[in-house]
Amino acid sequence: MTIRWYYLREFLLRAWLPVGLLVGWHLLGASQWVSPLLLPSLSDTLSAGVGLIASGAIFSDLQSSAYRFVVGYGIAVIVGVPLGMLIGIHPVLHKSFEFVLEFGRATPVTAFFPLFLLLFGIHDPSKIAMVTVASVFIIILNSAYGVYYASRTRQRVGDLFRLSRLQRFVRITFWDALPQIVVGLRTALSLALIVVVVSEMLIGTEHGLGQRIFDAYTVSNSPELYALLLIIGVIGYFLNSGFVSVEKRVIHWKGY
Amino acid sequence: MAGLSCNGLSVVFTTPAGREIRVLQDLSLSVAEGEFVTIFGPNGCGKSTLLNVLLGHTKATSGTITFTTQDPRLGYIFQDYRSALMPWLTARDNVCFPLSVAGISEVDIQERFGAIITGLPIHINWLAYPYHLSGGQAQLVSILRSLIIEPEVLLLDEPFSALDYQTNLYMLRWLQQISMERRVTMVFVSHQIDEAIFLGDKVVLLTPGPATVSEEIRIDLQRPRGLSIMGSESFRERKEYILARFLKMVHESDSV
Ligand SMILES: Nc1ncnc2c1ncn2[C@@H]1O[C@H](COP(=O)(O)OP(=O)(O)OP(=O)(O)O)[C@@H](O)[C@H]1O
Ligand SMILES: [Mg+2]
Repeated sequence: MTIRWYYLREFLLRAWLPVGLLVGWHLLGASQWVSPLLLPSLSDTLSAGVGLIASGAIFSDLQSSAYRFVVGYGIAVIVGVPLGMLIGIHPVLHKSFEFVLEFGRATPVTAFFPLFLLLFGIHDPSKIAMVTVASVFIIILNSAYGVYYASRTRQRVGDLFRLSRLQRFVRITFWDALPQIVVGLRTALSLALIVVVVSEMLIGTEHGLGQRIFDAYTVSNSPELYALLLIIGVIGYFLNSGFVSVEKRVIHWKGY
Repeated sequence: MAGLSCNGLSVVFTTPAGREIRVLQDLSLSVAEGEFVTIFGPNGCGKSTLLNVLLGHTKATSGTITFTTQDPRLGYIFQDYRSALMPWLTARDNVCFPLSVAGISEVDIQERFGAIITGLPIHINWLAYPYHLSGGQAQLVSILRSLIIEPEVLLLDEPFSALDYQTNLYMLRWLQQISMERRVTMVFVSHQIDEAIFLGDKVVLLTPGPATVSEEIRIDLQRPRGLSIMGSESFRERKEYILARFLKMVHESDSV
């Protein structure tokens, strides 16, 4: 089989189901079996989507959500990675923190929502805090695991060549931990996206994708609702696959 | 260069359950400067433990180790050599790792690297990462990484165990040449009797665990030894002698 056929086959294998789903959606809409309130037709949905983009209405929402996402996730990364690595260095620290961290991760952040309202008010800070808290535990945990389970043999290589403690950390432990740290960052990324949208729905705001969805629901504008879901899905997809492709390049040794 | 001697070494490990495992028992051994000593003993008798004690990574429960020079540079080839390499560095950067952490300039590093890779027994793509190297190549990289610091004593833990016959022979010849050119003191753990005799000025026979020296056999074959020597009468005689001693020793310890 030639290379070209190989890629064509790979592409078709991945594309047939999404395309099939869209076609099915279109046929279902045209058949009028399902109430358009539950499932608007594909063409209505697409034109609602085009309308959202063409009118520029969605951009202020995108901007607000992106801002909360970037700040919330950014804080979690800046705090979580160093803190996690620090905790992972020493077994005593690691064991001391393990329960609290697992507890923090296992508790749905949305349960804290009233608390955040009390603490941070109803504006951006409380939504950003939700994103941060949702991401930070996963990031800390994975960074700590990465350092804690760094290869013993390579630590001994560091001793053999008389690296200082700092050198050993920077030249060996950090790299050994990196794949696991990145797993945490990737998991937290998806979660942060979810929490941004949810927090906007729960708390309410002027601009934001979650708010826009909620508005579309309140006025029973199903085409716009579906269009927003598609847009958010596409954003999430590209965010994640972009992350994965960078990850593969940076951590090329993973899986060997 | 440095020789070493150890006197009455004992190592007792305590398992987490509190059970004591005696691994080395009153082991005494001396290695002269520039001498090539091979250590031969059954699986699990404590050979790796002995090397780790010489290296200073495992504390002896009792006994002393003295080197003839103070704080000599030690090289060490780990038994699991693959996990001792840095997968995030190329083969070249793995070899140069100890120099780079010692803060040596890139120009000097390149010069020493160039010098050390002349006359290697197998070809290596220096830009490849460890996970793309064959067993022999990875092994060679890990040996070169220790050689590049110009060690006074080189400790090797079954370095050629994973190699095919031909590569093994190449490596034996190369290692003999290194030891003759550089006069590095070598302590080489092996469970291949041919290899132990070919390389050694002296073969040290260890008892089944807890290990102690059962017998030291001087191999007074002239150097450089050609590979064909392994088929010679004088080689066979020594092999038969060592084998007989080994079987007797194993048999005695079985019947206790
Ligand atoms: N850190 C440790 N704690 C407890 N027991 C240990 C430890 N290290 C080694 N041992 C035990 O000591 C014994 C000797 O181990 P060692 O690795 O030195 O043997 P070896 O002669 O190198 O074996 P092999 O030929 O398989 O490489 C084994 O029974 C092993 O289980
Ligand atoms: Mg061993």
